[in-house]
This record gives sequence, C-alpha cells and structure tokens, in this order.
Amino acid sequence: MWLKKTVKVVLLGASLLVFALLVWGLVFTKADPNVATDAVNGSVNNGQKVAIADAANPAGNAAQQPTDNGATQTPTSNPTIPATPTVPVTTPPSTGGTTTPPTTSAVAPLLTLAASPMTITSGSSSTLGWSTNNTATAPVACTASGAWSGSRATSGSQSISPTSTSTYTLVCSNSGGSSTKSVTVTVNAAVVTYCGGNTPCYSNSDLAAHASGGSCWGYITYNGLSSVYNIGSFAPNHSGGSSAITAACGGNIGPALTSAPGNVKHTSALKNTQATLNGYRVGYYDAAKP
Amino acid sequence: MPLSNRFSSVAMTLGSIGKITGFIGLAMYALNLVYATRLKFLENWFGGLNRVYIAHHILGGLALIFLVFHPLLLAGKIAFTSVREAALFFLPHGLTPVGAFFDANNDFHYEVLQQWAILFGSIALFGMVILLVLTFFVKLPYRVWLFTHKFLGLAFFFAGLHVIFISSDTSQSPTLKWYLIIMCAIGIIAFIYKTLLGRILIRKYQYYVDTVEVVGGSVTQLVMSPVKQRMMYKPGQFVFIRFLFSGVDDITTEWHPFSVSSSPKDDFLRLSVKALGDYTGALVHLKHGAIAEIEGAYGKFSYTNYSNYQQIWVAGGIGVTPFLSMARSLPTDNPYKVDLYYSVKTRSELIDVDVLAEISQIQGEKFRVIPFVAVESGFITADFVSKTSEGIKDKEIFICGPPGMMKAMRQQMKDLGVPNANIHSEEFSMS
Repeated sequence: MWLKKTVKVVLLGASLLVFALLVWGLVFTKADPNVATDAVNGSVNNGQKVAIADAANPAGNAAQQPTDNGATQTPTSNPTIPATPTVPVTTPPSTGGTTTPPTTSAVAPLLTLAASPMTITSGSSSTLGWSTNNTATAPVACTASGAWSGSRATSGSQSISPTSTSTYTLVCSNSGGSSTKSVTVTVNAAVVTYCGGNTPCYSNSDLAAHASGGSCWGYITYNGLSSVYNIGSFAPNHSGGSSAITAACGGNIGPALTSAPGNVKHTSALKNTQATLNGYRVGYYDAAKP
Repeated sequence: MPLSNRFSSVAMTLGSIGKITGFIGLAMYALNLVYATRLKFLENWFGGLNRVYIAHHILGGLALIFLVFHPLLLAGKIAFTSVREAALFFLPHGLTPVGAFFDANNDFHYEVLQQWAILFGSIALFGMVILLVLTFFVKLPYRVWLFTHKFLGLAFFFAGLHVIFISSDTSQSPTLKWYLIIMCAIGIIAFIYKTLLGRILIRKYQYYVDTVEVVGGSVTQLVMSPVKQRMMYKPGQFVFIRFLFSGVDDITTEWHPFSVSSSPKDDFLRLSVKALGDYTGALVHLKHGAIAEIEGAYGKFSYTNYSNYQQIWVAGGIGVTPFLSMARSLPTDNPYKVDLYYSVKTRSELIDVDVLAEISQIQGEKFRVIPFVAVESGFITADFVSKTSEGIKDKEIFICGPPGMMKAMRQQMKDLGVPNANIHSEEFSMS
C-alpha cells in the first residue's frame, strides 16, 4: 500500500541521514584552536604578544596547526583580530613564513571584560561590562569567580561597590572551548574632610570635654563656618558678667547671644561678637567629626 | 522576519519548511487523536466508523512523515553553517545545571530551556517512530499492539512540552502561538476522553447471553438480552462487544466489532459471527448468562440513510448479517423495493433462509431474495444482478462481503454505468 511504502522510505532515509550527520559532524570535525589574546577590544598594540595554541592538541599536528604552535608571535604592525577566529599572523621578516590557523566549526567565544572606572574610593561604585560573541552558533555559558560568583549572561553589566581592591574573573565557554578574563578594581580609602579643611577641627566630644571650668569652650556658626572659642578665658572680660558666659559653655553659644536682654549691645550681627572673640578662637567645629 | 527573508537562501528555505512541517505535523497528530474518539460526528463526515479508522490510519502515517522531516530540515539548515552543530542538534546537551532555571540570569535560562525543549521533542519523535513501526511493519497480537498504541498519547504529551518550551521566532507571533496551544489542547483532550476516561465517559450497555447456536456450518448466533438499558441502533449497524468473565479460554477481554443481525424492533440483540479465528471460534462455548459489555452502535451502512426506495442488496457469505437486520426491520407498509442477492460458496453456508423466506412472503414483490451458490453457478456478477433486477443504474446499491468480492462487484457496477456515489459498501476491515 502506498502509505506503508512511503513511511518505510521516509524512516529509512531519515535514519541514514541522521546517522551520516552524526558520524560526519562528531567524528570528523575537531575542536578548534583556542585563540586567547591579552588584548581587550580585539586589537593588539604594537609589541604585544599573541599566543596561538590548540587546547585539545597542544603538541600540534603539522597538517592542521600553525607551524609555530605554542610560540609567541610579536606583530610589528597592528593586526586586528576579527570576531570570527581566523587569525593570520605574519612572522617578522627575519624568520619569514606565514601561519594561518584553519577555520573550523565550533570556536571558543571571544570575551571582553572591563571595569569603569578602574579606581574608586571606598563607598562609591564601578560598573563591570562584558560581552561574548559566538552565542548564536554554539550556546555559551559564563561563570563568575573571584570577587563575584554565579552564572552570568553572555553579555551584560553589573554595578559593583567593593570596599577593598578586588579582582573579578569571568569564564565563558562553549562546545569549542573557553575564554577567561579578569579585571582588578582598585579601591582607595575615602578622604573625608571635616571643618571644611580648617584646623584644628574639634568634635562634639571635644566640646563636651571643655564644658565647664575656667577654660570652657563654645562655638558660634557664622556664614557656615563654626568656630570654637575659649569663652571661659573671655568670661572675666565680659561686661555682662562671667556667669552669663559660662552658662553657655560646651555648645553653641549663638542662641545665648541672640537671646540676651534687649539693651545688651550684641544683638547686632554676630560678626561683631566674632570680632570681639577673635583672640579667643581655639579652632573649628564639625558636628560630623567622630 | 519578513516573509521574503525566510526563503532567501537554501539554508533559510530548509529552515522555513522545517518549521512548517512541524506545524502541520502537530495538527495532523492532534486531529488523529480526535479521529480515534469514535464521536458520532466523525461517522457523518466519513460515512461510517470503518472509514474513520481508515482515515486515522492514513493521517497517522502522514503525520509521522511530516514530523520526521521537521528536525531533519532544521538540522539541514544548521549544517550550512556548521556540520558539527547540526550533528549536536540531535543530541540535547547543556541540560545541566538544572539550577539555571532558578537563577535570575535570563540568557542562561534561555539556553538551558532550549535544550530541554529539544529533548522533549526528541522523546516525542522517537516514541512516535517506535510505536508506528509497531503499527505499520511489525505483526503483533492484537491485544499487545493495542496496548502499545495507546502510548501515542504520551508521545503527544511530550510533543506538547516541546511546543511550549521551544523558543523559535515563529513562536513569537501570537497567531501561531495560539494555534499551537489550541492544537495541543485538542489532542490532549481527545486522548484523555477516549483512552484515559473512556471507561467513564463512553456509554456501554450490559447484555447477557440468552442462547448460543451454530448455523450455516460455522456461524455462531448469539442472542442476548439487555441487563438494564437497551441500546438504540439502526438496521445494518455494528457494535463493539467484549466478554469480561466468559470463563472461556480463547475469549480474551478486548473489544471486537460485529454486525447486528437483529432488527431494532426485536427484544433481543442478535449477533451472527463466523468462526474465522481463535476468538470467533470460541464464542460457541459461551454459557447462558455470560455478561457482555456493548459499545455502539456504529455504522452508516443502512438503507434508512437513503431516500432512494429502489434498492439492491448484495451479500457475500457472512456479509449477510447487516442485511438480516435490515430485512427484519422492513415495515409492513414498506415503501422500499429491495432485491437481496445472497451469494455463498456452498449451499450449506446459507443462514437464516427461513427468516428471509418468511419476510419475502409478507413483503411480496417488495422484498425478493435471490440466493447464489458459487459451486453451482460460479461467482455472482453485476451483469447477472442487472438482468435479474431489470436494471441497476437508478437504484441504491449495498454490498457487504469479502473485500475482494466487494471491490470486484463495485467495479463491475461502475462499468455498467452505476454512479459511484450510489454504491455503498461496509468494509469489515479497519485499514
């Protein structure tokens, strides 16, 4: 019957084709040379070295491998390495000869990994960016290690905020091999300035330590700058009496000044007070200072 | 992707046809599962349940062909870029780590999911191939074959998983996506209805055996009564019957189809079965009271389906059974004019001639029985029928008998000018 015959032919034909395909595709093709460079963007600088090695066949097969397998080549001009792995490398004239690695089917992915910026101060962040090629023909899997871990997409970016200098490594592989890249992000300790950079800079605890006695301190904030005065020393010279002064010791003396009884002549701008107290300034104040 | 791109090169064309075969193959598979449900509307479409099964057989083979081409053509497309990748296409890889499913990395997700989808597709296709090889090419005992055939529902389920998880540019289109979902749903529902829940959902009638007698040399006549509900049927239809507790060795428990030889007006249900094998030969040993389950009735082979009252019935051997039912059901004020040609090899094979003679007496000229014995008169021909019935061209012809006889008679009648649409035959075989 026609149907039975057709089914028979189709099944037998398909089995034969699949078998032939498996034999051809798996037995008669070899894994590719692994082209790893220490260039970041697919180009090498004059003087940089390009290493060509077949991970599966390090000893090399004269018919398939470049004759200088394992040796490093130093291009004198700037060869660009294209995304598909055909890397013609011209040896320097003194040794002569050209090597052309063969193109074969599945190739290890080309991976680029970069951090921007490469140096940060503690507390701020940087962005890691990476990309691979070759994901369409052979599925690529990427794994992070070092200061980060887990699986990653074949391309992407990630924000990082290391607290100390860290190295981030990414390994991307497919059926043709793998590529590894690392990048180190330097972290500098944050420089924090208090008192706007003025010195000496005193904190709340300093004030608290001079909150009473003959040399107690207080601060006035004028035009954004907080100055610390030894109002204890000034107190005897205060025409309003020393007790009024020492009552404000150890903290902000601004409110005490402005709320003094009306006929006292320092309700005018604090700058007058500042001028008077100038000789008694001991330093500056920043509440944020630990 | 614009349509023009899809056929822009040999590789692209292979890929596109590969996808198309997948879509068509899936629809055929789903439809075939519906064909197996025995729902009544299918009988109307195809003109009888036996024809539904013939369609099922053909569609199954076609679905297999399309679905085999599906991965083959897609691999062909890949081979243009890389033979190695094409080979790897048939070997799902990168299935682990399964943990990839649970991490937020979507690209990695995608790659692993694709490989699982391909794995499901491979399971479905390999399963289908094996089960259909068993159907088309390997001779198995009926029970064994029937058991294996039901696993095609499982293969379809895996095909459904493949369809859900595969990420192809065609699955981006909402129309195609809905098409796939609907096809899978139809197939799964049909399979669940018939194979998994058939016991509950499909109506069965319980009958018990009243009498068993042997007539015509090797024909077992079973007369049965309903235990509870009577089955309704038309004259000429057939049923599926099985005996669960017959107590007879060779009466196995699977379903068998037999024509009903009683009239729907009768109180009893009568089956006349010729002993042709182990099962049919053992029916004679059934005891009074043996319980049978009956599913039916099926068949479009009935004079009541046609308005042409001038009819010629040609019966060969045991093919007389539906005509016995039809003859018994002719009403007394019968508008039909029927000539029944009953052809057998030897005279001893004739069954129920007394019944037919009685009906002929009652109906007079409106029902004539012309027995035709091969050893005495040779093989019956359309010519003989035409002469004896005074013309056959404007009459409705019914033929039932051995396949060879039916085929020959039909051809002869067509040669005499009878339109093919006027000739109705009930093939006992299902393929």
